[in-house]
Amino acid sequence: MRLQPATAAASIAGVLCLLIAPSLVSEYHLGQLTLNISLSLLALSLAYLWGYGGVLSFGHAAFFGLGGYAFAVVALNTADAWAGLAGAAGCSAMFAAALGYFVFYGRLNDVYLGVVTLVVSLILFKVMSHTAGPEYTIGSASLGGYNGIPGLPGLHVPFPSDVPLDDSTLFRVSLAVLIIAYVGLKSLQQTLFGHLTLAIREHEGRAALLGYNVRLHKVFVFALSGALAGLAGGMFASHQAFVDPNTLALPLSAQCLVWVIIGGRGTLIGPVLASIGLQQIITKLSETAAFDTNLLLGGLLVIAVVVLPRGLAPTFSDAVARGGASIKRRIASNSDKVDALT
Amino acid sequence: MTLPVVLQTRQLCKNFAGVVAVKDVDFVLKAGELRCLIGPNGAGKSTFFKCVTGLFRPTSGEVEVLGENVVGWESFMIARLGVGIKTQVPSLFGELSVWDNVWLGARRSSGKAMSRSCAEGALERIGIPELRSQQVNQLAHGQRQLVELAVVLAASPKVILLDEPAAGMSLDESQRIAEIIRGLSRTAAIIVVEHDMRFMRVLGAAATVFHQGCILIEGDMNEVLDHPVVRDVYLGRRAAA
Repeated sequence: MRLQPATAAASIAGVLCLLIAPSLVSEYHLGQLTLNISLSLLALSLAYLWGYGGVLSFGHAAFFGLGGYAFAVVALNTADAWAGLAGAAGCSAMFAAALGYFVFYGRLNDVYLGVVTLVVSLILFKVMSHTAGPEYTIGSASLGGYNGIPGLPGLHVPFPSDVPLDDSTLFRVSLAVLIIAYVGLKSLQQTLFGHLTLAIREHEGRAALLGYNVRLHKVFVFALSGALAGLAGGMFASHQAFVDPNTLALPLSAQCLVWVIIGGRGTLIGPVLASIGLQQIITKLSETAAFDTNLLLGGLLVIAVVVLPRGLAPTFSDAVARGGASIKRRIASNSDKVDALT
Repeated sequence: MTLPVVLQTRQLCKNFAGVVAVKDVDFVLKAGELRCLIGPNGAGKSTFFKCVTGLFRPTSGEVEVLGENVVGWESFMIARLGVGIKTQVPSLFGELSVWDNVWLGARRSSGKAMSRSCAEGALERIGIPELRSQQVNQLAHGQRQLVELAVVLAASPKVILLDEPAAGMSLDESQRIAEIIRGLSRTAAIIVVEHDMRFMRVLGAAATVFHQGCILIEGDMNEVLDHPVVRDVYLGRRAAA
């Protein structure tokens, strides 16, 4: 399968970053970047669902937080963080598939679907906040209510399994997962599944009239996005060695929407870069000054919607395309002049 | 030789909150037949199409497509039987290219290996191969009508329903559409809904007149259009003149 030039360029830039960044930044900032990358995987999952699938999830943190809890339960019971990550992706995918089944086969669309996902995330937040006490224990994992589950194992060298990954390797593994997810989604778009995802976004009725099972396809897209969000939640919990109900809460869902809107709906790279960039800006500002980061995020959203309604990535790629066309016209015009002179 | 029936409705009814849109329609279409549906706005023609394609579930009655009673089937299942529809307002994948639209039409019915040649064939047959790389959203209305026709054709349907295929087109374009439809009728059974009586006369097919959800009269196009009831009540004398 051939990658498009923009996808290949973004992937090469990611790989270079993977190789070089650990030697350029401090250990502390590397840790911050590793957490940022986990959250950018969440942004990628929503960018795919909303931008390509046309399905707006207002409560995407539900899949992220569920992934974090699944990671905690599996990793603590198996003492294997990699099994925890697989459990995180699998659990969120199954939950998303079940929710998607009821939503899409119940003919819920547009804003109603957004409201359902929002309510689901709020319910999960409430439920997990009320799981304090010894009766809320799964194997050796105590859910811990509002305090969450501490002491989660970090990623380790697969064989032998008791050697933890150092910070730079952890960063590289996280970035590699993000690059693989990005390239995987872009490659998927080259297949019938990908074409059909866009077609359904454009006109569900026509897709059905051509014989495509639209609802089943949307369930698959929802489950795939849920799996990525769950994997992001598992990685986040692993890096923090901790998971609590805040990973299911509304602020994270809202942040994720802001990342996608500012980065550019309909692209994958835009929301990923916007997510990392905005997290870095907020971290810097909260380090240096008493600044309300939510106010900053809100302000940026308003500016983005007014000034760049399509988001950063589409605006940038349009500008590059216009620039390229202008250069071609100039070259053609100059060669005409040269021809005329000769 | 008796041609097989590919589409049949028996006592088909569709009500919307007490308003009768289609009432007791008994309709038969045979393989290779070209039939025109005419009638004033609100006569039930489009609702009839939607009942046949599964977009509406009939209130009562039967819809039999290629020997299967499809009442209660989802529209994608009916499409898989071999029913293709061009809707009144072109329904296409706007942000995709013309090629992607037509290829998606061909891909499900003809498989991976044949889909490209089927899509190429449909574009050639409709006469729009030069539009293949254009985004559908950037096309004029008439071009979109042609693209939708190509999408339907690419799926190689056995029964084709065309809802106002010549709407908004110039005289030349209408004549071209009529030629294409006559060509298609060699390989599929076709029902055409249209208000343009000149276009219907050019098609020269049998006609069924709908009125207030019921079939009023069926027969040869010229006979139907000259029928006093049709002229006086539904078409007006000017249209038939």
